[in-house]
Amino acid sequence: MTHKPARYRTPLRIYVDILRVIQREGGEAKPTRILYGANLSHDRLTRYIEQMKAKELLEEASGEEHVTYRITEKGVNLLREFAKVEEFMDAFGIPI
Amino acid sequence: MPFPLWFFALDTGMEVIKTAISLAIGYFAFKSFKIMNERTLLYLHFSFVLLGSGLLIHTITMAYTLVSVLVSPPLVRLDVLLLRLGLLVFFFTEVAAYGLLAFVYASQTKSVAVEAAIVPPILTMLRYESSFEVLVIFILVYITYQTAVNYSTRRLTNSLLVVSSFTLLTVSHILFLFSSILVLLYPIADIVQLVGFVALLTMLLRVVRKK
Repeated sequence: MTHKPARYRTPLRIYVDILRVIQREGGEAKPTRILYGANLSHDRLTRYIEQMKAKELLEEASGEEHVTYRITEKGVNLLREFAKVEEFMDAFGIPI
Repeated sequence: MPFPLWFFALDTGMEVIKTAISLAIGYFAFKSFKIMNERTLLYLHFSFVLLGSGLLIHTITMAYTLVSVLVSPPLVRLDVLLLRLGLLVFFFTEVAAYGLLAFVYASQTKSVAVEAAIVPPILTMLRYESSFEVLVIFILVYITYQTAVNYSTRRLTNSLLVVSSFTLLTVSHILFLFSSILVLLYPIADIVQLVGFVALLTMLLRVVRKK
């Protein structure tokens, strides 16, 4: 049985990847951390960060020296729901 | 009727549980589709809603027959006709539901041989109930194989529940097929099928209850 090559990441999958990086970093992360962790270019990261801020999935938390991004309650909920769907689909063995 | 009336009532009750489980899985798949906007989730939703709808129609006709026998026995030709009609609708929806699920699995792989193996029986679908059973068994064997492959790679409890469920559903349909020869196999098949659906429900509850 040969599986098809991995599909491109949907915007939702990218949101989740970004949120997971932030959560892994303890709920707050610098853009460079997110950039490497979510495997995104600078331009794409900036675009997605703006979209996610508009959707209230994360918020900007300006520190003394650097800008950091903090996951919101809505972002945590999205991660929780996404994990459930992932587990459901994994049970059937159907990739999403 | 080869079985006592109490078994017919019990059978109807079991069908209600199977219907509820199918629709619950269909609902969760749709809820997931609204979050993810993934087409496969929509197919999964339609597959289980189709199965649940077929089971529901079958359950309603069974319940109607049961009530009409209890109110004014004996069983008249119209009751039998209605029961058979309900069963026919159920068979059609079952083939469509499992066929759709098999299509989802087939579309995930490049295996043309497997897709080709699914298509001819659908095209050559016959009118007899035993042919429907054979067709359902054929599709279920394929789904069971795919879920077994998934379990062998992931080794997750939920994957085990899904492969167990489809194995039991396949076994139940084999028993249903041979129940025309040995009637005693019918209640066994019914219980095996119910256990298969309960395995799916267990998986769903494990997913939903996760914090």
